[in-house]
Amino acid sequence: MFHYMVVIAVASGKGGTGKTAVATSLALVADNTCQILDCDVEAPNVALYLPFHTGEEMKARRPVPEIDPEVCTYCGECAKACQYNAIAIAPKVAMTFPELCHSCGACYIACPIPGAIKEIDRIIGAIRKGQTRNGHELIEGRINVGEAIATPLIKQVKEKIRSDTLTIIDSPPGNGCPVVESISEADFVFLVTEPTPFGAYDLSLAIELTKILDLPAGVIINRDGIGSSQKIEELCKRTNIPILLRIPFERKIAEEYSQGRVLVDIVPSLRAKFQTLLSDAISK
Amino acid sequence: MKVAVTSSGKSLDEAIDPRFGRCAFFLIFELPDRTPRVIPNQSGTAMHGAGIATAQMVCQEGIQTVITGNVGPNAFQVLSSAGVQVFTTGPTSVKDALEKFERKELMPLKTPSGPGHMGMGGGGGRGMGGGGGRRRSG
Repeated sequence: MFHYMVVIAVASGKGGTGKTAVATSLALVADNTCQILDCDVEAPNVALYLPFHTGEEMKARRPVPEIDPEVCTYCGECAKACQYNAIAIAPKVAMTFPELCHSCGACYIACPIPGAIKEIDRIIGAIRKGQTRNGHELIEGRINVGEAIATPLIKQVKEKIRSDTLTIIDSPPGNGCPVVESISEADFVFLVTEPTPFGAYDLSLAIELTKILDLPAGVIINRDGIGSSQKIEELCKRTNIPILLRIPFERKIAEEYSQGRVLVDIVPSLRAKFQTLLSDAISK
Repeated sequence: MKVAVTSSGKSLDEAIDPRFGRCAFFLIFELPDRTPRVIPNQSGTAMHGAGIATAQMVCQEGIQTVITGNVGPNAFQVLSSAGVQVFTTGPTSVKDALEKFERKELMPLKTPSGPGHMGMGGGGGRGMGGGGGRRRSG
């Protein structure tokens, strides 16, 4: 079986539910070698489980404004245009806050004085691209400490998606812009949760997000047994999202996972289940 | 001298608002006159950069002195570049803060008084769970 342009994303709402455990397991049960994108750029961790065997690193940049105080007339049009308050203009003061800038370019358009604002490149992180020992291609985004805006880097990681292979995206937690950027072009989204009130609540937001983005999704319950999954079951029934898999809560899994082993290697009986999950997701 | 005090309400008897960027109101005084001009802080609910936008407004109003509870690094950078002096005080009324300032009991800040995001408040957790959850924002 050969796949064309299939993108599978793993998201969660709540952090720490097991996105990476699921994403790395899906990669290991794929029929052919595939691409894995670590879009959790604030804390990429796929490489802890599927380490780079070969690889190269590129700097990730994005354009931000720089104001020339010799040319600027302090009219304030750029600050007015900026939706992110990344520019402050006061009499005789022009300041930019690049970490708040979304690189939208509105300030350049709004500025009436030619040459007052120029675009400079800001290094926001790095993208590492290489092969894992199993022959999969791993692309990891890693944002610099202190950078507030992850989406431009995630976009650059996604530019590496190839059209001739299966792509698995390990998404960031939450339901904000970085997640939207990570999953918006996926063909199927696995939502990983845990049977706790936090897991259920954040899952409800994640399901809502997949509905808004019109993405087919299914739920995986991790650490099954640590609490009641009744809320999750009711939620899934109400929203018509299937519960596809339950991963039991076992000390052995936690211990070996913490040593860098992939879930399907720790529990070989899960291998067939992940194979079914993957082929069902691909055919959707 | 034009002085702005961050306030939780519209009169001198109200408590000062300890937040700068996300304060509810500014009471602006032309000292020694104690009649305030009230400006609601339009940037208080901004998603990002509330301190920056608020500081810009203060500078554009021609205010030379701000009395508040805490100022984050971005707002402080804008205010100090524009030559605005910042004085901080603990919880008290606007009236009391003003009197302390006039008696020179408040010291001007040389560095930001807080780490930023002080005024964001709790309960706004965006997709943030407990346990292993990590805070994320859009």
